[in-house]
Amino acid sequence: MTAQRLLFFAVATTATSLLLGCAAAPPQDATETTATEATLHHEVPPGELDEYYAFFSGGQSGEVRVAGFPSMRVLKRIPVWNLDSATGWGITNESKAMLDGMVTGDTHHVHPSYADGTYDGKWLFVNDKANNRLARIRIDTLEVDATLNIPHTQGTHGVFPQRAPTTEWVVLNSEFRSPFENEGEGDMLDASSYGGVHTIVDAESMEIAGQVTTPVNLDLAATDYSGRYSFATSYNSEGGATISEMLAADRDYLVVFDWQRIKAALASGDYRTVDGIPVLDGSEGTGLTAYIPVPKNPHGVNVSPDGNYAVVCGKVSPTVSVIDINILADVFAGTIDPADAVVAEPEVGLGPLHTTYDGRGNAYTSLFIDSQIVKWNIQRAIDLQASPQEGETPVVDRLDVHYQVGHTMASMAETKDADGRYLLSLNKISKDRFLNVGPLKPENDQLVDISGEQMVLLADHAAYVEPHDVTIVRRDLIEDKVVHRVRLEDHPDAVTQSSVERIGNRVIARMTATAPVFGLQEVEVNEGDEVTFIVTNTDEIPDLAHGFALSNYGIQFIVAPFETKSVTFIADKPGVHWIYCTTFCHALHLEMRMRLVVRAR
Amino acid sequence: MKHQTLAAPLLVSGLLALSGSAAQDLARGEQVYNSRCVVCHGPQGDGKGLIGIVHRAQTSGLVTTTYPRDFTAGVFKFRSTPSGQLPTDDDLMRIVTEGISRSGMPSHTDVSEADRLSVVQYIKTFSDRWERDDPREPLQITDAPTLVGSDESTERGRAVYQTMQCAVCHGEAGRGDGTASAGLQDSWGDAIVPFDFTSGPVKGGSTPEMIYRTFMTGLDGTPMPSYQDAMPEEADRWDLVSFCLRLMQG
Repeated sequence: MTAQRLLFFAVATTATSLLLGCAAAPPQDATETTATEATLHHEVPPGELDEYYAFFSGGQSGEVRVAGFPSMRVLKRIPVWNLDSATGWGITNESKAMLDGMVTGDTHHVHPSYADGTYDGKWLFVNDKANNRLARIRIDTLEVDATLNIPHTQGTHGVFPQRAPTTEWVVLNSEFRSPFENEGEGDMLDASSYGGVHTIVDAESMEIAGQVTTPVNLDLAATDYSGRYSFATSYNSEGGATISEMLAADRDYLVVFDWQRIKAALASGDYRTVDGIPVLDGSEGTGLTAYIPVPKNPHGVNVSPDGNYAVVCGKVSPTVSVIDINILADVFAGTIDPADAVVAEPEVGLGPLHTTYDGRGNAYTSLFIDSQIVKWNIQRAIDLQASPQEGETPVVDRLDVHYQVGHTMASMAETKDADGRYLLSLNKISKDRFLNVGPLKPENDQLVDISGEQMVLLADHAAYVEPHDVTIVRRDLIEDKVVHRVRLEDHPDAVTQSSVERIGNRVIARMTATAPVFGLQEVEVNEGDEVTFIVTNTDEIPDLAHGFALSNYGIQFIVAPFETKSVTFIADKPGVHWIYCTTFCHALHLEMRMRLVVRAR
Repeated sequence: MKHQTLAAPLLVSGLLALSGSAAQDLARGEQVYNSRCVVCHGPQGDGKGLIGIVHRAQTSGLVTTTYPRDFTAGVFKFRSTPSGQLPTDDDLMRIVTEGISRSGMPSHTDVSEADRLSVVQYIKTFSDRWERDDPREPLQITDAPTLVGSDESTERGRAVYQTMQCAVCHGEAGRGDGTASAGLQDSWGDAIVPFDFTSGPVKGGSTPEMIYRTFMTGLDGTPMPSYQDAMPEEADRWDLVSFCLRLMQG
C-alpha cells in the first residue's frame, strides 16, 4: 500500500465520518487505518461446518461449483455442460438427453430461485453463453434436472430469476446481436439487421414464455424486488460488428422491461409467433421497454437489497449510474424523461464492472483496471448529485485486490436479507499470488471482511478457470432442503431385481450395485449388439456410492445411494472386458467387478 | 474352503443318504455355492462369510447391521408358507433367482436354471430341519381386489394400521421410527430396525400381493409377526396393503 493511498484513505474516512455525522467512526490517522483488523473468522475448524453455501459458475469448464463459505472449501462440482468422467455426466443416457450432443459450455451466472426477495431453496439457474442454453439445478440433489435451448439468441449471458413474489420467470439476455432467424440467408454481413433478445423462461416448466427483441445488444441481467421489471445493460447501441464500431457512441443504455405490459401483450396475443415462441417487439416507443441512457459501454447491473436502486457500472467510464427504480413507472407513463431516472453518477475509479451491497446503504463496486473494490454510500452519492460539493465524494473506502477483479459479491447481497459480513472479489489474474503452475494460472478469489467501516482482506483462494460470478447463501436456507438420498423410484427404470433381456440385437442388462457386488457377475453379448446397462445403487446408507467403469469402452459413471443411471453403446470390441466399481465402497471394493463377454462374430 | 465344507457332518450325512443324479446335483450345488454364495453365507452356511457385513441401514442416525442369512438355523424371512414353517423349494428358487431388493442378496439370473436348482438343494443341507419338518404348503393368496390403492381403501387401511399397532414399530408416518423401534433385535440378538416405508420398495416385494403375503407369513427371525390370526378379515388386510402403498409414495 503506497503512502499516497494511505493519505487518500485518511481523507476519505475523515470526510465521510464528519459529513454523515457518524459518531461511531471517529477520524482516524493513516497508521490506524493500516492497523484495521478483521472481526470475522473465516477459518472453519476440522469437523465444523460453514455458515454459507457459495454457488460459483465455472466459466469455460462448463460446470457449477459449490463451496462452503467462508472457508471456500469446494464441496461439489456440478457438471452442467461438460463431460465428467467421474459422475458420467455426458456419458449416461440420462445426461445425454439433456445435453443435445454438446459437452462444452460457458457458465457465467448462477442464481438461486426466490420467494419474497430471498432464496427459497428450490432451484439454481445457470446459463451457457457459448451454446445459448439455460440449465436448472435442483437444490435437493444439487444436480441438473432440466435444460433448455434458447433459440434466436447468441452470447446468452445475463440470467436472473424473478425475485418476488416467487420465481415464476427467469430472464436471459443475448449479448451478441445476431440475425433473429439465423438460417444463413440474406446479407448476413449487414449487422444493421441484427438484434438483441430478452428471453423469458417459465421456471417451473422450463419452456420459453416469450422473447422480447431489441435493436441493441443485451448484456447483464437483473430483476427488481417487486416482480415488475427486469433489466439489461446494453453496450452496443451503435449496432456495431467490430470493436471500433461498438465504442463509437458516448452513451449506451440500461434497458428496462416492464413485465405488466409484457404480460398484457402476451395475454392479448399482441405478438408474432416464430418457431412456436411468442415474439414481442421491444424497440423504443413500443411501450414494453425503457431505454435509460448511461455512459458508454456499461457492464453489470445490480439492484440494491432495499429494492430502490439499480446500479449500472460504467466499465469504459469511471462512473456508476444509480437508477431510481421507484420512478421507472413515470418513465413508462411518459411523464419524465428516461435520463431523469438516473439519480446519481458518481466517479468511483477505473473500470467499474459489478456492484454488491452490505444492506447498510453501502455499495461495493469492482474496479477492473484499478484492481480495487471501492466502497461507496448510495444515499451520499444521490445527495452529492443533487447538491455537488467541491472535493466531496461518496467513496468510503478502497481495497487493493490481486488482480483485475471481475465480479464481486457480498454474502446474501442479491436478496433483501443482505447481511454485510463477507465479500468475495473474483479476480481474473493471480500472477504472483500462488506457486507457479505453468502458463495458465489460477484465478484468485479473495475473501474480504466488510463487517466494519473499512474492508479487510482475509484470504486468497485459487480457482480453476473461470468462476465469473458467485451467490453466497445463508446455510439455513439451503441445508435442510438437500437430501442424503434420492428416492429409488424417482428413476422410472430403477432396478431392484437384476436381469438380462435380449430383443434381437439389443441387450438390456438391468443390474443392482450393492457393496461389494454387482447384481450380475457376467453378461454375454455378441459383437455388434446394442447394449444397455441400467444400474441402480441399492445401498441405502448415505454416502455409499458405487462406480461403473467398463474397461476399453470409455464408459464410466457413479451411482449414489438409490440412484439409477444407464448407458447404451455398441459392443464393437470383442473379448472379455471387466466392469469394475470405481468408487471405494467396501473392504472388498476391489473384488466388486464382473465381466462383459463380447463374442466375436 | 472345499475341505472345510466337506468336513461338515451334515453335508457328509446328506451325501451318503443320496445316490446317483441327486448326489451329482448336490455336488454341482456345492460348486455353485462356492462360486457365488460362500463369500457372504460362509462355508458352513452360517452367514459368516468373508464379507461379514453386507447390508446396513441408517434410520435417524441409528445404524444397524444386517448379516447374511444363517442357513444352519433353518429360519427364513421371505416365504410363501405360514409363520414358523420352512419355505418351499420354489421360495428358495425365487430368492436365489431374483435376489432380495435393497439387500446384499443379488439376483442370479446369470446362473443357469439347473445350477440354481442344484444350489437350492445344497442350501438345504445346512440344517436338519429340512429332514425333520413336514412338507410345506404355500398360503393361497388371491389377486388383489381392484379397490386396493383407492382413497377409501387407503383411509380404512389407516385405521387398520392403528388397530394392529403397526405404528409402535413402524411409526405414525411409516418411517420406521415408532416408540418400540430403538431396541428391536432379531433371533440372533442383532439390532434390527423396522422398515421405513417412505424409503421406497420393500424387500419382500412391492406388489399388493407380496405385501399381503408378508402380513400373512410374518418375517421369521425378526420382530415382524404374522397377522394371519390377528387380522382375520380379508378386507382389512387389503386395506392395510393400500395404506402401506400410500406410505411408500412418501
